[in-house]
Amino acid sequence: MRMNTIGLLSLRLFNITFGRLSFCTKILRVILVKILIKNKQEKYVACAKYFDWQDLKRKP
Amino acid sequence: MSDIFIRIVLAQAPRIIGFLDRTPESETYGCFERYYWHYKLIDFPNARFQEGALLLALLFKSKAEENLFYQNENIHDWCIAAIKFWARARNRNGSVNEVYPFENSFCATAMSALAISQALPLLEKKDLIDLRKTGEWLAKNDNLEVSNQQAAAAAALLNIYFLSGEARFLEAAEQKLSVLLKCQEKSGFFPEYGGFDIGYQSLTLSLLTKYYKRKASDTLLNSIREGIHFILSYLNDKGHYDPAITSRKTQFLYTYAFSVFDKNALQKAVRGLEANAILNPSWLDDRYVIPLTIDYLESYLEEKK
Repeated sequence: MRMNTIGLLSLRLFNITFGRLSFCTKILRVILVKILIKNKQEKYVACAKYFDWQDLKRKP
Repeated sequence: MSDIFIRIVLAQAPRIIGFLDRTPESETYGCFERYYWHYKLIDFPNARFQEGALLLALLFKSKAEENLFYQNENIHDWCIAAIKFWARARNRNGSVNEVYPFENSFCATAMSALAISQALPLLEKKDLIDLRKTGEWLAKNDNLEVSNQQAAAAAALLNIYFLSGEARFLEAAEQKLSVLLKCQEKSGFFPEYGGFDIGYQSLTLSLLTKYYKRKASDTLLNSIREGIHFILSYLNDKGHYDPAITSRKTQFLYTYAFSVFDKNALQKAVRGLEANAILNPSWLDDRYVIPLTIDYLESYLEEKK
């Protein structure tokens, strides 16, 4: 799921309104972890998908 | 003299390839903007990252010792994917965006179109994408306050002429070049927001050198030489200059024009790089590392000739 303009605007709107309350921002975090990490077949890891010399080998 | 350039380039290449979405099944296959395809923090990709396609094409074609990317099929395929992604990311009018959606950025369109139009013939894929819409947009738009962008637009239009064979793009390129050369001050500098800037001057000269290499003229040659002479008056023996007195405060130094026209200036830059005294691509953030790395690779290839 890529970020789109509507999603970005909605997220920012939440961040600067309800998101100011630590309770709400914690809920958002739980939801994002569920969507992006726990429920994904390929889990999101920020520090990943960098270049590896093995990448130069042709995959069958 | 050129070893320092290839050493720096080969050190940066794995970093830059890491920016690229290399998964063929991915919708964003070929995208160099990690903040878009991987972190998913932004809602559009900055098209300037796609200039990485030219770096891949040059690495693919450059037979250099320790260049493990030379003739590698994956590098070839990633380059094609990056070019196709750039073409898809364009606005309907052929322009691209750098900072926000529907920006129609003159800078990003000129710089990225130049890189893509240079990469296509290197891969012998001249018809892979249609650049004419982008050429039409560049021909209609200008940013005369910023000489480096004008130089990029002229060089991109010239490349699009060679790719398409349509004379209107040659006319537009020559028109842009002529206007730019008229803007050059008597002391030799090309204005950047009303003043001189050594970093951007060196970039403008690199871009004009690309133009000259494809369409030589005495007027352009003299202009480039005057421009280099201006830079030399500010460089110390290690290629360093004081950015505080310049209009944009840039700290970088593009060297391709030096490698073609002035070995003295190139030697100063090499001394600075070897002493780690002047800024090199590894000091730059992701946004700017790609074009300077390309310039160093082109400097190396020119020196090797």
